[in-house]
Amino acid sequence: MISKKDLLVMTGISYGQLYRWKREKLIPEDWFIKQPSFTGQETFFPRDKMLSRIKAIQELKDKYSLEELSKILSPEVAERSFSIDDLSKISEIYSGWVTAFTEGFEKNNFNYIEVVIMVAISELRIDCEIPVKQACDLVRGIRGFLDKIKSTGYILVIFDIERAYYASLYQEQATIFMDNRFRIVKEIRLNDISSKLKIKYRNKFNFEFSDEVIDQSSKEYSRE
Amino acid sequence: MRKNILAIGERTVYGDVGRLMIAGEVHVVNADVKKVYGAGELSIENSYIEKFRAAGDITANNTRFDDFKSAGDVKLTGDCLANIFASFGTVEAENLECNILKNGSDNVNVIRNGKQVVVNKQYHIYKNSSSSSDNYMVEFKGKYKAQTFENFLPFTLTCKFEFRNILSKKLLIYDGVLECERLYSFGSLQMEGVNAERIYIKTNIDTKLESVVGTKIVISDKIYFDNEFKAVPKTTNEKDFSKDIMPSKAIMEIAQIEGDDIVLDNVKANSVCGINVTIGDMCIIERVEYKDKINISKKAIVNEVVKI
Repeated sequence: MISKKDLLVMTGISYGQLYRWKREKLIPEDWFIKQPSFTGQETFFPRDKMLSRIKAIQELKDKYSLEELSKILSPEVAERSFSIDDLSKISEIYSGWVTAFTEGFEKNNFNYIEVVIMVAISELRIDCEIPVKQACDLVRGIRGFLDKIKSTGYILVIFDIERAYYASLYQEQATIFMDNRFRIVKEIRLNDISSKLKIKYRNKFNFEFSDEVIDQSSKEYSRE
Repeated sequence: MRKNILAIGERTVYGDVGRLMIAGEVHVVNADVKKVYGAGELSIENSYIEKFRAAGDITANNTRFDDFKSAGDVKLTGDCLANIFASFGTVEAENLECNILKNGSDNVNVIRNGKQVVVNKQYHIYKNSSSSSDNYMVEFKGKYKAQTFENFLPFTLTCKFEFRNILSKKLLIYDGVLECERLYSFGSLQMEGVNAERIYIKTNIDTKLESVVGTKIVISDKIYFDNEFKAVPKTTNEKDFSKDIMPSKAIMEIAQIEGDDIVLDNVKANSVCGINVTIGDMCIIERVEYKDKINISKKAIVNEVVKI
């Protein structure tokens, strides 16, 4: 966690900028965590998320309109289909597992949420050293729900029972209580993955969003 | 040449119309009308109306108004547009976009649902004679987008809204943190907080706020109109906001104030943080943090000052 005061000193942004970005939904409301202090209340933020978000805003705010930036950083799902060839361009998806993912999903074209899930599961390879078969099983276990998910405002929970991995998805604002016999291996915020993908691959994939109206100039920019 | 129409009873009107006087159940379809006056049940569809003054039950679908003023229940479906939209009564809008949205007006005398309606011209207060004097019967439901929302009544914001500017003369209640670009409040505010680029709040004993955050913040007992206020699109002038408002000398309590430029008087706060901070007369502040400049009146009490 980082206090607001330290954040402003570290990043050089002003109170006005911080609250403007909050108003413009560039910084999620739930990152402003109020904690009691001797002056009443002090606001803290999740340190790494907040620092990387402010860096992203500072880098992108001159390139994109606020509306576009808000969509890049929002849980909105990009309207695009991804082929196997596209997956190979996303370095966050472990290339050795692409075959397992196609087997798990039983298809060769994927929507944005499925790509985000593949990135999330790829992260497990490094953190949990899960075998390739389990990656395939995880996809099989949740693929039926993914059509219903229309935003990236979800958390993917991976838990294991006797070295077998299972996945669950719940909305960010929801509180869940799981049987304490499940060992939670990792909780992955899909929105964090999505924001990184949208920023990193925006030009490569020319992401567009369901209700987005991109003016000609920004389209030209994204083709550069 | 536009025709003028007097529509009494059940009638459908379409095409180019000059003045349309209505009484009864009138349907306006695919019409371009200069002026509408009257009362009754009016339904409008796919039309443009330049000036609208009517009372009764009004429904409109995909219609554009230049200057809309009504009393009674209004239901807007589809996408409706207005330059100025002022209404008494309940407005239910699927999607209304306007330049100026207001919940009061200068002068409307109507009979609604057979009941006598009283309009207070001085304060623009609309109330049903059968209700208590505190029941103002103005409610916005649905989705609204406006450059400016002018609040002239004790009013609770419960609809979905996106207001760039808010000018409030009376009590404004909201459940949460009110966000906009510019907020000028001359009445009282009851909400969790305010987050805006430019904030002016006239001190008021009835105001209840936990936090005020933004870029430029003035909270003062003095009536204050700056160039930003002058730039806000509005149907009213400075006098409309300043009249009837007296200096109260009340000390207003706000837990936390944070902004780049802060000017305060008559404020009690736990914490004030800013870049340039002026603590004026009659302020009682527990802790002030500032970055560049601080100015504290001799008539203020500040427990702790910290340069950050």
